[in-house]
Amino acid sequence: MKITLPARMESLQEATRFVLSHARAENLPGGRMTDIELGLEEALVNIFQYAYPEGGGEVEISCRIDEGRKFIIEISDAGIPFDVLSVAEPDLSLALEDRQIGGLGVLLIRKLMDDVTYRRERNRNVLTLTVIKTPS
Amino acid sequence: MNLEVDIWKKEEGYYLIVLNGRLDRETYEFCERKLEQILDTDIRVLTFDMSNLSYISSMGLRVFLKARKTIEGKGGKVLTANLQPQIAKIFEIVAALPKQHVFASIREADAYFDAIQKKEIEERNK
Repeated sequence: MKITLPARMESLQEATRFVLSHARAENLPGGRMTDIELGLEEALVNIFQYAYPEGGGEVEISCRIDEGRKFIIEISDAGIPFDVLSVAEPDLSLALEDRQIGGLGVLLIRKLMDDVTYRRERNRNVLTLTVIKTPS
Repeated sequence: MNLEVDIWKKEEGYYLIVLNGRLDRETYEFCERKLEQILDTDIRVLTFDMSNLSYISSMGLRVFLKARKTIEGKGGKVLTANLQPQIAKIFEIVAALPKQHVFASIREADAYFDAIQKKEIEERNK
């Protein structure tokens, strides 16, 4: 199950609809729906911005189940090499006045997903977000 | 618009912001503009009522953190009340607010404001 969308903010809604409908069909618990929606949004926003800094381009999103319990979202694009996991996380131990208010999206992706991996494959960025249906 | 922002002035220096809907990429600018209307006034305490906030993304969190920075920079306090579980989880991940400023109800936040005010009056009368 795949969908290809223009790499721009206007695609967020359709991407979310596509992924959540599959998550629902796989009976993922309601509590994980927000995790998935937010993880997906933050990942796509970063890709739109950094893999396609000039605009244009497309992203391909697919959903599948692995080992019967892993809901896997794969996002691939043909933009410039960009690993979302390389973006620095904010230092939350600092007092608010010294904190950079940025990098929050990447922090959310890491914390809300059960696993996040990146690979560069055939000149494409491939980001894989995994949500485990029943935590082991 | 998927977000409503209502601003109530409860007392001198005490504001209540009621958020209704989603604070995300689509709505954060609207929210920011609404908050700007009061951010340059003398705010002692500003409470966000989040009982009807169903979703917040990093852009929404930025608006919240920027407001906090501005208000705390002038010696005020930002509180939240009635966070839905999914919002509370996000707030915790990004350490958006110290735990002692997260309240279960508006009444508790009001009591906090009253306590601050009482303390200030006592100190002034010393």
